[in-house]
Amino acid sequence: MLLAVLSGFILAALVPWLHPRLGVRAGWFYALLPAALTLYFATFLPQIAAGEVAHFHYTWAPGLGLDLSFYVDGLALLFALLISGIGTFILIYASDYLAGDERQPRFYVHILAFMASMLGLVLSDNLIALFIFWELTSITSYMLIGYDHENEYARKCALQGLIVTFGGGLALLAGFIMLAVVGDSYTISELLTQGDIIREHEWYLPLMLLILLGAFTKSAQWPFHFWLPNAMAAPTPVSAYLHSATMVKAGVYLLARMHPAIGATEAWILLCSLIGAVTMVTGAYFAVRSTQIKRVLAYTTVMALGTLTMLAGIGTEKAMIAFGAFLLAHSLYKGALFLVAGILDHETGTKDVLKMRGLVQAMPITALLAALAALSLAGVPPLFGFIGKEYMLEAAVGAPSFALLLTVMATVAAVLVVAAAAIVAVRPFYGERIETPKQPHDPPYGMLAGPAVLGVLGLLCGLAPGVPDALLISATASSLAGEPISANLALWHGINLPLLLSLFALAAGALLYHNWERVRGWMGRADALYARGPEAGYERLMQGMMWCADWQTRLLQNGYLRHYITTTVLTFVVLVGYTLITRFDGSLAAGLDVRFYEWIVAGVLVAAAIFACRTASRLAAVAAIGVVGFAIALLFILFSAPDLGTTQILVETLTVILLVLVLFRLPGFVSFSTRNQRIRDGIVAALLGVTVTALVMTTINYQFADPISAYHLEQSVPLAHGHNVVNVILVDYRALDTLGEIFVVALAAIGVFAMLKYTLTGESQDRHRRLTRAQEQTTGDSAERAEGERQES
Amino acid sequence: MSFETPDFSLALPEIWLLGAICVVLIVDLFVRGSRRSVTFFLTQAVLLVTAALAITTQWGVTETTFSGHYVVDPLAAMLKATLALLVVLALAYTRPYLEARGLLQGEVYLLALFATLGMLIIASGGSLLTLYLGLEMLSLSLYALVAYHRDSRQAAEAAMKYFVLGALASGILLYGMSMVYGGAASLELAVIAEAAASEEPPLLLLFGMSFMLVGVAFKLGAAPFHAWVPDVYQGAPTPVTLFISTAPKVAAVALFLRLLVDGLGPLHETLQPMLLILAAVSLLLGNLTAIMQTNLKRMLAYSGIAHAGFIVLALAAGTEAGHAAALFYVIAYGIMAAGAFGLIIVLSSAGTEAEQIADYRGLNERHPILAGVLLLLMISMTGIPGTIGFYAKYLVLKAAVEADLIAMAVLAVIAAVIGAFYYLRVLKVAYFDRPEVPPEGSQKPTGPNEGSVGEGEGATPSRPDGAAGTVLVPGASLPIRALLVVNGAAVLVLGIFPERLIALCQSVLGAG
Repeated sequence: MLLAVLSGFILAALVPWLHPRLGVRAGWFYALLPAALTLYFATFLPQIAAGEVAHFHYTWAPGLGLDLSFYVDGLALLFALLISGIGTFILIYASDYLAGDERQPRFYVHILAFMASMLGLVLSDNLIALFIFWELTSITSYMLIGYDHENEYARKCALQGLIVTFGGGLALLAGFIMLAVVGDSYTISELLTQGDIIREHEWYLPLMLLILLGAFTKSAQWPFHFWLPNAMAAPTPVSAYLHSATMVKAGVYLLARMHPAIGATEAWILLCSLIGAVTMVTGAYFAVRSTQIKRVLAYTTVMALGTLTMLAGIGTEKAMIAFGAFLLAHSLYKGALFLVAGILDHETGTKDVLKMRGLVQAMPITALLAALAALSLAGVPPLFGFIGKEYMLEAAVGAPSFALLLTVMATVAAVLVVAAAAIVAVRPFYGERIETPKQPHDPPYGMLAGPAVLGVLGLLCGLAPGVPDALLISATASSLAGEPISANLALWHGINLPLLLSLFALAAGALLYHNWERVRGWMGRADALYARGPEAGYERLMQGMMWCADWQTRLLQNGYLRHYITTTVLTFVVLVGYTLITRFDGSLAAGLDVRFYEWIVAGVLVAAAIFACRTASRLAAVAAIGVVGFAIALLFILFSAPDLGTTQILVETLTVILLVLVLFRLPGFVSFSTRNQRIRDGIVAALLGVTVTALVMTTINYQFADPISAYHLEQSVPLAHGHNVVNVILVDYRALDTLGEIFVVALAAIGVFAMLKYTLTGESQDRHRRLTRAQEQTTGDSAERAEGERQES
Repeated sequence: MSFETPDFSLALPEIWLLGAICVVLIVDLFVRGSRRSVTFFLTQAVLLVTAALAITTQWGVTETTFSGHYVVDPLAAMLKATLALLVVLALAYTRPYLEARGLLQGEVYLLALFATLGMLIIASGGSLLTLYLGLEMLSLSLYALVAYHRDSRQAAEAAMKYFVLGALASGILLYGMSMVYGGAASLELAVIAEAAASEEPPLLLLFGMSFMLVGVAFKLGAAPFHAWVPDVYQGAPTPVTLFISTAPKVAAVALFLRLLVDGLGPLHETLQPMLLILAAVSLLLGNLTAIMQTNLKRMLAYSGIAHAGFIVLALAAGTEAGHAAALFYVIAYGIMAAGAFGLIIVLSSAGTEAEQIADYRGLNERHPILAGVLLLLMISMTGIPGTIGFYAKYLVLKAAVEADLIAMAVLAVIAAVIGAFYYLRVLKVAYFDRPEVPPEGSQKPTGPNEGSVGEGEGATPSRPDGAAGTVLVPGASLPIRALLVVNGAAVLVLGIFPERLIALCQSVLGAG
């Protein structure tokens, strides 16, 4: 099993090496792998049909709760078979579709990797492994959508699809982690049995929303549906594979998979069935609105995904069966239709259905295959699509809540889809022949194989519904429900409401198609509404993000050191202020006895500081700051710390001298801050001052540890036979430190020596550098001067 | 006060490194030739021996020496080995770039060695004093390294900003330390932890903690103490940027773990809201601003801020799992950042700096292997599975959820989605855009790159030829390119088999 899942990656890695050796039939060779996988998965059918499940376990990173364990039940097997089976035909098809394209190897690498990721996704029994494969499908599909990268539009669409699905994916990760914490396990099959605990937990709602967000973005549910039609910029085999049969179904798969664990609550039913229904109608509406054949199909896919979501939301037994039947039916006919669309595009050179008519003469086989698949899409008996639709309507009618609403919406969607099916399969082939950019004829067999097999399968399943039922559908429905369900699919249910609705849909759909031109005209008028739809929302969100980024970049990262310092200071004030406010116990330092000469010193200090801020002369400012320093030194002395005072005076003097030496050569102040800037700076300074003052006031009475001077006075004679405490500390207690200091000084001396030596020997280098700089100056000088002037002003 | 002889043998890695630095310093005086081969290889050998010593002499030992100022525990041993190896990796990239610009001198290696010594001291810091010493040793070396390209206005400006802001942060940190000393009456972290764990912890400890947080956040480059990051990343010579973005980040996390977990861990309840603010601001600000960048180095700087946000979030969880996640994250970031800046170095030949994102147009057509490395690095930074970056994010999110920080976890997810936008855009440029575009097309492919960039006073004016697309020629020699590929592969291999490293991070922090 591990090999089965990973073989796609292995083959993908070998493609660059294999491809030149295989020549034009490479696609057929690669198709052997999915074909073999299909057979392998088919061997599970008897076991699954008997109601058993298969487990496979491989350890990967147990410390992370991450295992490569696989779990095969009806749902997983149905998906696995679809992925590998359709994959086989896609690869064969691509070998002709992309014939002569030099980027073929890259295509095969990505599509094989994608296939493997998709298999991993549906088979994983571990949440994190599932997520890993989930994101791998996103990234490989990104590469596949962007395949045609000459096309600016394709690139934009690829990025859009990736960001939407990746964003949803991360939400999913958060949801999964919460789910794992709540259910205390990373193993999906274990979590499925703990539905009751999970649904009761207080985190249930957020975790369900996050998981649904992931599933809805992946499966293009409204309001995220816009990325899927845009992703149609991809080559057709990719669209057929990713955007109908597999990747977009991953979200639906997840809903179905998680249903026993987190489904069937009120919130779940409400969200899934309503959003699914809205998606269904939106998709069907735009399918009829579009004229580009791939977009029509893409929107019918959106419709189908909406239907599946709705069914997962309804959650009755009928809905489960409908889910399985509809899923299988859709994969069969939609894959076939996409491939037909690819044939049309390939052979006629256009994707616009308005530009092709009467092709039946030129491509009879294609027309037949298109009809077969489209009949299934429209839900005409005895094709399998009919059964799928029948059960879907039945589920909607029998829904526990919103039954009427859902039934109406399902019927509307069914009507529209019939028209869409006609647009795809009738419009291009019949009527009066018009010229197309290329001279069309039936394509090579490789391209016909896929639609033929899928279409015929759709017919066979419809004629003998017992076979897929016994093998898969019942098991799938059971996986969803978490308990055994027997489907008993049948073509004929007797005359009931769903059948009548079906007949109505066929008739109304035909009528709709007949008046398609006019209907499209009406729909065109509603387009203004669409301009405010979710896609516009996405664009606006992106723009808003850009604008926000731009704004705050200007505000915060403007390159001015003073603003950086302001930010730092303000944050500091907030952090300290936060502690101060939350921990303040109301006791300010009481009874500060300040003597009058201390007031005087403090007054001088404040006056000097204010003067330093206001003066227009640099030297005066430095002098004023010097006064501040000396005033502080005076305070130290007044508080009987003469040593500290002396140090402060020395340092202050030195600083002032140095500052004066440096500043002396600078021109006077030129630019002053405006009044507003001053007010702003003043507020910042005041905030800092107030905070620090408050801090001092609250902590000043704090009883520090006992002073250590008593210890030194007592012990210096008995321990070190010295009366001068400072001397004793330096040369006795801390002799080693003193030695270290001497060592450091020596080291510094060596450093100075090294620098001197470098300067002497490096003189020739310097001269060289000076020469080059002189050369640069002839070019760079003017720019530099301009820069200087800018700064001055 | 009796004199105890400290157990010098416990501090063997540092003692060895210090001694070796002196030797390298003197040897370098006598080295001739522009390639500085002797200094370079000697430096690398010294660092490798340091890592080996840290593992052999300190792994599995839990003791203190120098009167509690110096701690040896598995965390210290692991950090030291990691730091030394990251420095080896970072220095390995330096030579061709510096040589091509006439900047290759022994000082680079010496300053890096001194910085490493500082980082090792932080890793083993058992008291406020040791930690501060290590931090200053590291910081001063870094200031000098940033300013190293003396003729570059940008570098000088960056160093100046770094120094002023760094001094401010250091000052605040020191102020905080003095308060903590006042509150706990001891410099030793173990004693401070006892004081902090008491029924009513002294108010001074709480203030001291907020002060110290400022210093640590500055080192980590977390917003809003991030202002230096973009200017320094962009202004410093690329090898120096590479160096700054790898090992010192790990050291910053080490500083946090020592200072605010070993020392003030019991006060986490008060610290957590502050950390959450820092994390939220970093995540949003870093990611949003990175979108607007057209300069790759600057973009990576902002992305570094966003990554710092993730690290702070993990630390805010306050659990052992959270600390392990932070440690893993920062190591993963170090590896990714080394690769990303390494790529810039490799693609910068003597005349050009491969700094503009637009320069990477069509990289895949000309250098598919390098583009492959870029792909790996970018998806790893995005956090896409299969790469080490995914596990980093995953562990952080997991720790946050387990610590009941659901809202923050969701915010982190949103931020990561925004982040995906600009990382993937680089890929789009490298993979899908055409190398040379005709003038009328030059507007579109840049697309989101456009818009004004808030560049500093001395930041690079946008290059006039930027739009025309400079053809990047790998300037580095084959070994460096091979190193880059190995670095990229490491991101992938560790992404597929992360178990060992994660288990290591967890075991040294006592989580699982």
